[in-house]
Amino acid sequence: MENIEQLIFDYHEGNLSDAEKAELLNIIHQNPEYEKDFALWAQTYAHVPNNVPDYGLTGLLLQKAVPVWYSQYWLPLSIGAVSIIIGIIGFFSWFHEKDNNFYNAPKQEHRSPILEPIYLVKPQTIKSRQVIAPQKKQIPKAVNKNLQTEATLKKNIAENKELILIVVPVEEPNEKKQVTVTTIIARPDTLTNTTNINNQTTNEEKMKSKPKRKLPLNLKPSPDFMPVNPNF
Amino acid sequence: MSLQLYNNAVKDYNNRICRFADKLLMDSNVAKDITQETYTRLWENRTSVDFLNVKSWLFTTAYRLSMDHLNRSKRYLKEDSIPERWLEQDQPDLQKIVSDSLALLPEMQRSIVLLKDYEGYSYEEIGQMLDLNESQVKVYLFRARKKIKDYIGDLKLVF
Repeated sequence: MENIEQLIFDYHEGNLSDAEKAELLNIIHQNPEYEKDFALWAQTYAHVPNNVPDYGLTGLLLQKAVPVWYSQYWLPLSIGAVSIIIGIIGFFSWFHEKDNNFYNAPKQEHRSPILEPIYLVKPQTIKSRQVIAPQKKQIPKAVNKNLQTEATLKKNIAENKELILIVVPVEEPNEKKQVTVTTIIARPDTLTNTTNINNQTTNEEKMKSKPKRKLPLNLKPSPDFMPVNPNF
Repeated sequence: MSLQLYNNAVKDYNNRICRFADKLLMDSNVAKDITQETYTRLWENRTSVDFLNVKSWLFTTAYRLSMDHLNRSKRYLKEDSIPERWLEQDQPDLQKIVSDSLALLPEMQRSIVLLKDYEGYSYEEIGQMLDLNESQVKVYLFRARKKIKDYIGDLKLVF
């Protein structure tokens, strides 16, 4: 029979009913040549052991219990701790850098009182058709002792155009006490102190002997000046 | 799956898994590695695995890892002749002979025999684990037992 091995297999697997088992046993009894195969099929199940061997892996595979709070809150706690540490490190690094910037700042240059910066006059570009007007000078209140006579003044007028007109009241010896005004024309560089008309001649001599005084210059620089720092 | 259930699964099935891998691969060292890898994956997926189905999940994972190992190593355990050690014994142990005869089977048939005889799974459960239908499992199992029976018969002719 071709399907006798299938029946024997199903018999040992437990797939046959009671009637089918009885029919198979009847066939085997009638055909003794099938008994050997029937026994060999049964021996194919002999390899199943009664107990399970121990391979020694139980201890390695077991997981240890951890605290509940650790398992639930370890992640937020660890994140918080790391963020706090980073914040502390960042604060100290910023504070340290701030101190370094303060102490390493470039120092201000100390200027000695003696040395003053030298101001150079910006060269003026004069055009061909540009007309430069004479600078107006302020008239000082004091009058120089060394006033010149009218003759010398007239002479100076012809030589130098930069003259200033000064009006000086003079008292004459009359009953009405009329005050006459004498006009004197003088150069601005000769005007330093109060006037002394009686000493005009002596003053003229003194002018020749004494050196000329120079009025203090106006130290205010004009906008055209370019200051140059000698320390560069 | 809680920690306690995982540890229970370790205590109940780790030796069975290792035996299954050992019989399948014929290498106890590799079988231990596969067992550890199987339980590692169980721990990683413990939230998605149901404890009621953990046994079938473990055997399925162990089978797939074993097949991957065999494919990587390209080992062919099937033997065409009777081992000489059987011939040296006067009365060879039938249980040991049948156990050694599993090396004669292909991996698929060997897996089915182990799951059926050692772990007592049904055809349907074996089919789910190995991605086969019930009829295919029966066919593979029939061929495996027939081959074992033929080798036992040849051995008895020798003795």
